[in-house]
Amino acid sequence: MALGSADTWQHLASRLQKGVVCTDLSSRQRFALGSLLPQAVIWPANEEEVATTVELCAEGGVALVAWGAGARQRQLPPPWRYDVALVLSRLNRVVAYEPDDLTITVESGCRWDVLGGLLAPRRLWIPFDVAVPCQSTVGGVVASAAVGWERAGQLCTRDLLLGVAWVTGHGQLVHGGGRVVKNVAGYDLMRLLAGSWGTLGVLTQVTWKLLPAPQERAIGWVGSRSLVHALQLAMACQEQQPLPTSLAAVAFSPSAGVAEAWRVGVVAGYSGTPEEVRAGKAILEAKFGDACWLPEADAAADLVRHVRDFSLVGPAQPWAAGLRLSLLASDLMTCAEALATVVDKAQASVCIWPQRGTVLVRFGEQTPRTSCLRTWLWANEFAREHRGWAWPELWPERWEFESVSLPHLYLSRRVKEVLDPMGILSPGRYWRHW
Amino acid sequence: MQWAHLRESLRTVVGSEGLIEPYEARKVYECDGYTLERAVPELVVLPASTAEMCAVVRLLHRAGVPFVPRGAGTGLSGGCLPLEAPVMIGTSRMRRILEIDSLNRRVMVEAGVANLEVTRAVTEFGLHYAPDPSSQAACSIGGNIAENSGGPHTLKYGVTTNHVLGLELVLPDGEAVWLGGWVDDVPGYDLRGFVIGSEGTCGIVTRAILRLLRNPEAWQTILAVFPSVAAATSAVSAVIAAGVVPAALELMDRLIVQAVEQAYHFGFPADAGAVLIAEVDGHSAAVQAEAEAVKKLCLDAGATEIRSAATERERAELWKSRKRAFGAVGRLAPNYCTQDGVVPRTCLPEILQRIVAIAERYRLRVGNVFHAGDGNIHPILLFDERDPQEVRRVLEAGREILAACVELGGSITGEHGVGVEKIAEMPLLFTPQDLIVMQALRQVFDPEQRSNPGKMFPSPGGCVEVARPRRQVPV
Ligand SMILES: Cc1cc2nc3c(=O)[nH]c(=O)nc-3n(C[C@H](O)[C@H](O)[C@H](O)COP(=O)(O)OP(=O)(O)OC[C@H]3O[C@@H](n4cnc5c(N)ncnc54)[C@H](O)[C@@H]3O)c2cc1C
Repeated sequence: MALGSADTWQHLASRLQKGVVCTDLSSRQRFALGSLLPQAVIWPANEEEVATTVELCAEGGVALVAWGAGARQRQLPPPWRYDVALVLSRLNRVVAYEPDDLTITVESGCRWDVLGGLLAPRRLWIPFDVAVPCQSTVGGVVASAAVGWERAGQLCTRDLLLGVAWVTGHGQLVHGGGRVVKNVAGYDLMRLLAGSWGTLGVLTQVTWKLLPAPQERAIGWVGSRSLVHALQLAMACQEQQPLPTSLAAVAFSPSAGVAEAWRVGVVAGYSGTPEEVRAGKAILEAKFGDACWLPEADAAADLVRHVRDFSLVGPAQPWAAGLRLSLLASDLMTCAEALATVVDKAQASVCIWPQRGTVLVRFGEQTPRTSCLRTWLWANEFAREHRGWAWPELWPERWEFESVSLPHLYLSRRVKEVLDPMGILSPGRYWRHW
Repeated sequence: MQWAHLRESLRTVVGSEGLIEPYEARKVYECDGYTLERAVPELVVLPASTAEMCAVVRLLHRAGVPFVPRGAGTGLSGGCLPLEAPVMIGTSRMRRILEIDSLNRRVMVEAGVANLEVTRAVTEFGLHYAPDPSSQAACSIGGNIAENSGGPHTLKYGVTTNHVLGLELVLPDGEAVWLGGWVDDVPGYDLRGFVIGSEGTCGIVTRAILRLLRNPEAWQTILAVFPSVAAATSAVSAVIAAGVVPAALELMDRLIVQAVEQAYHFGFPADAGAVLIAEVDGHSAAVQAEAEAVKKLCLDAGATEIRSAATERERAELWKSRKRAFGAVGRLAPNYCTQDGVVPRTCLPEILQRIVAIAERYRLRVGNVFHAGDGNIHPILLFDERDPQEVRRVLEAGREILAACVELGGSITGEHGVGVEKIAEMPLLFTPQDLIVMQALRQVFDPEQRSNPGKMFPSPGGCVEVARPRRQVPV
């Protein structure tokens, strides 16, 4: 098969159902990444079609990017080759739902909000939230190891995966894990795939561990005069049990489109049994007399939405670029103090999740590139000095950053070679050269 | 390299105190808790630091000699059986707790540290290490990582992989690499997650950074007595379905309750068909309500008696009864084999019925003590190893039980690992393609398959016989 020729797509189309392969310009434009347009968009209807597509792409050296609903595609730089957009939105079936066993298996194109809606009547949930749930699919959440600001305990995406089915870069359908809540048979492939951004395979099915949904929720706001002060308040919320189930110290820049009253402060959520929520509210009120409780379903929820979606960067978001640090809790205050000056100068917005040690810094369009760069250099050094890590997120141009150690890098590269020997899965998106 | 020369080179690295040579001393290492197969290693090496470990493994690499990592040897699937590897590398001299960061709730330990030692070391800070295998007084953190071990409290708090933030792995060529780190998120593929549960087939873990949890503010430990196992398992299903997530939900059947009672006199009713130990913990405001809910569900399911531990001492006693159950089984028969299957929690009544039928068919006595809340069963098959026919029946019954677990949508192992014991069952769960991919990934870490060879995967083309006579590869 000649790479990218009309023959390629005809050959593919002949192996798949009618209407699955589109090469018209408008379809392709919907899936542009940076300045790159795919040559074809493929909507497989089931996992066999995913396998066939990837196998044929591997034969022809055709580079593909798996797409869910697209919310996180712009978190990464574009690939250095991009021939096919493999859109998984038609793989949206529930394969097995066992509410009494607290497990569910769904196809990877299933939308996060739809899944939440399915679980709600039995008062179940996958115990963490994600940014823009209505533009997120299960596959995208797993591939990016996305995790939002609300979580039950320490749990995150990787901790809740019980099993996966996925197609390797050879086009082979492979399974890992199973459908029960405890299982150590074979290697933990779920963890390997989670956060691999589609570079090791195309996810087709995911089995989740479910938990009973909180019976009640309350989200409180405590306004503050500065980021450092907000972080102090947030840390104070963690001194007493019950701990908040969602906690963020935020400082939005004036240009971020957030109402003045909500610009700087702490958002603390308590969820669980009515008794736990009542106790949580009492703590917040006792500590901060001026705490106010946000009405559940209304537009003060706008603030909550801003906090929830803060992690996303991209054209649909208020942020043009960003960076993330993962730190130990004891280093957050020093980080916030240092950031305070940067924030003002660079007109950046900052959101800190103290429970996870995550610091998110976001820049708007108006921030000069040099300010972004200076902040990034500082963040990288700070993280290194404090046993942490820093990442750039969505920069218009690719920025080098030292990620893992050399032996780790070598092992990662070998893993990639085993699972994607032709290098067709999102080449160069996650690792610069491969 | 000549064997004698290799031995001397190893001695130079670890000193005479780090080499175990006499046959009688090596015989201690002939098996782990899975005693149906045994093989005495040719040599046992005990490095005392990462540097020594690297040097030892590098020497073996140069000599092309396979090795078996070993922690405390409490494994229950023959994971550290030296079958195709003459050299055993133990971590028993690597037992230092290197750094406690109570502020950030982290601890860095060497791989040979016993699980319980970690919690002991941080108790003064009101913290604990959550994974608590019943063998926690003896088993090592390295072994826990290799097996991705669980325990009674993993129902609420998760298994080892949920609590290991970073680990240092000595690759089979002798190079040490850190995977993960001190913080929650690290860049790159989650190789740390891949290595946890890899049963020593990727190299030897030498150090680990563990997450600690705050001790719960309040707890209630409940003992519910049932007339039958069926009634107890239906209580388990009811608790899970009611949306209560206890910290632990453990079940013991009549045979085990009687053995425990005879051995330790905890005061269990002699006529109990089964007992359920349920613990709820968390914020005091919620614990009371959850405990009441659990008690009510147990009574609805037919519990004849409910007791609550009123003091920390009573609670500790209750847990001791559960964690010492395996020890008590020793009074019932000369030998026992602990199986480790998983079923969806709603299938617990069904699998337990099937186990009874299988035991009857194979004329075996079987007791059950298990992590009911996770659907993780541990049928204990009693036998006398001097009777080869009975040994064969035990192995066959074990295989049938695992096949039944898979048939009900479960797994062949929830926490003990595949080891040598369950290799033949891997194809019940995974397609040939799945297994090929896993083995290809193993070669990323261990291209020559010298770290714990002969474990986890069926050999290509061959099916594993039940209790085939296995030998060590001569040096
Ligand atoms: C009475 C009893 C109760 C038990 N209860 C439980 C329970 O509740 N939950 C549970 O999960 N398990 C339980 N087990 C099983 C066992 O204790 C665990 O599997 C434990 O993690 C093994 O640790 P170990 O140090 O003894 O490892 P070992 O038995 O020495 O080794 C186990 C495996 O790990 C590998 N290994 C050991 N150390 C390393 C290392 N440093 N690097 C790489 N690989 C290594 C070995 O090669 C082997 O494959 C129980 C066992 C007994 C005897």
